[in-house]
Amino acid sequence: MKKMQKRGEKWIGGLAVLFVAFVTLAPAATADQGAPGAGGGGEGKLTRAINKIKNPFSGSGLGDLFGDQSAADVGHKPRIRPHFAFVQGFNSNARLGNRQVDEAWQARMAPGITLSIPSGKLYTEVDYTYAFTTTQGRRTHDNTNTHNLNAIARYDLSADTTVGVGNNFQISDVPGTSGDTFTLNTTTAQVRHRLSPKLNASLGDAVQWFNDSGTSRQHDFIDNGVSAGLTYDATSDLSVGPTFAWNVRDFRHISEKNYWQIQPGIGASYRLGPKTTLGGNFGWAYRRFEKGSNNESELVYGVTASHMLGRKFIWSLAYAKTLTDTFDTGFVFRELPQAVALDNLDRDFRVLKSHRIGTAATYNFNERNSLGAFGDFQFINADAKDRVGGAGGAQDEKAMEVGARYTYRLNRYLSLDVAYSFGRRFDGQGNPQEGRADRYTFHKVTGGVNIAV
Amino acid sequence: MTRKTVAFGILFAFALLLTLPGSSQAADLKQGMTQGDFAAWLIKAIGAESKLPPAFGPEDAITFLTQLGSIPEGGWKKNEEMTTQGLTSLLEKPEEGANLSWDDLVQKVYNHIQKIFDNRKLGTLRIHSATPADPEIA
Repeated sequence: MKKMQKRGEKWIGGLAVLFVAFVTLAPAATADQGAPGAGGGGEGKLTRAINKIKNPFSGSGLGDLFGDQSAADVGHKPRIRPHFAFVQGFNSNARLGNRQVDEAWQARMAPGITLSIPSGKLYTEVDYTYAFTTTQGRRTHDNTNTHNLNAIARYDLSADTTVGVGNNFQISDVPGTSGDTFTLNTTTAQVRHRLSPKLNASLGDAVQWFNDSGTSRQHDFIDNGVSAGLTYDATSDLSVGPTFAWNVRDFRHISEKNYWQIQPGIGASYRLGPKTTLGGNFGWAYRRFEKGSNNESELVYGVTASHMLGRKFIWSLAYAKTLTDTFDTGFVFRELPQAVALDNLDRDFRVLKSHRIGTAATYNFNERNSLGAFGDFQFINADAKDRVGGAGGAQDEKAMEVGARYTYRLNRYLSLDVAYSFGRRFDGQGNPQEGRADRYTFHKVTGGVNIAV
Repeated sequence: MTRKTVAFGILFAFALLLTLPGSSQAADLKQGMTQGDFAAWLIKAIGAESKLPPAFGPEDAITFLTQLGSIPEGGWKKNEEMTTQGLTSLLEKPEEGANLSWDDLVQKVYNHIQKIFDNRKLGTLRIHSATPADPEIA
């Protein structure tokens, strides 16, 4: 653990030095002034020195790797993009307990670097991001180090066929524990082929494994999922097609949880007007556990809508009924900015029927200022038999989270934001946390800075 | 052990791909391209490839840009040509696109959508939410 922290500190120190060097020595021009790559502003000594070194891909100065690209460069020149994010905030209920007595300050610092190399029909990208998160309150003290390595490669086999692979590897402390770490690796492969001008096919495979050094490795699993789909453009506005997913999950130590699942369905999208798009899916999920006769058979469906009002306001609405597993994702390197607490289900394994409705809206005042808001409601239920490998009765939960965010872009490299979110679980009947954390309320205020080269 | 071997194998394969020599091929950006191909090009330009499926297509690119609030006049039509009028309508101030060439318009649209995307990225890097207290173990 200490080793990991020391290593993390070294990385953060190195990246911070690298980042500061390039931010201070890069040409001062911002993208607001003229086209990218057009320069403008003086070059630092280091930048000039770097430019003298020729890179093997383009023959241009190595400093170009860090600069903005013109439209003509896209798809030809490699690029290195250091990035840094810092967010600090206050949470009135840091551990989502029943009583709001655990307020805490939270901060996250995440430096990283992205290397992208386009090479003809091949595009490759590698990103490394280190994150240090700290939560400090009267009752809660927690520091978490996370390393995230993401790589993608995409190859255009022909005008009609594209192959892509991706791998995300994450190793991290488990928040709230002393010395436990987990690793989560997801490998994805996908082939997309245009069968005819109106018919597209897609085939994908995702393998995921999760190891948690604590809790006697009871949560360790490996999962393999294959998905396939056809999309037919019935008209210029309507696309429709069948989908099929097959999924196998094996737990390392608790074989009662092992299962396979199939999910055939149909999906469609319809362009209602120039600025309005509707989508929908309908299917059937059948899950069979390796042991016992506890199978699941559920209809799954969802609808989405997005609409643009005027030129600056984009609004979306989504509803989905799904069959989902519980999985504590609070510590997972997260992409979704919205409704984080709702995505974070605990580890007491059970199969949940989830109904979730969410909406989001963004108003872009201009290129510098934008205001966003979101709201999510989730209704979960499970029968006693759904609590596979554990004890307890039926479950019925209702939770929500709403929030707003204002973003201000200072210049090409620097953005600031402030955000507020409010979350509540109204009802936690049958929740494994009943009596301690089955119901919660929290208010969270955050402010952050994001720097990208 | 096997899993670690597989993981390292995958990383090694990526490293190999990165060492492949670059080949200068004709840019896929050209006047007369379809809106779907232009949307896919924009995804590459703004560096959003990792936000989409590994083998994303024009449909995925259009969905992503729609979520960003970037929709041309008349809506995205993936098989129709991306015209100068369409490009102009993607700008924050369409009047600034008047009398510009197709190439200049592409550059302006690229700059504008890059900024919108960068602003949105901030929201993806927020502190982890609180986790439930002492989750019970099954």
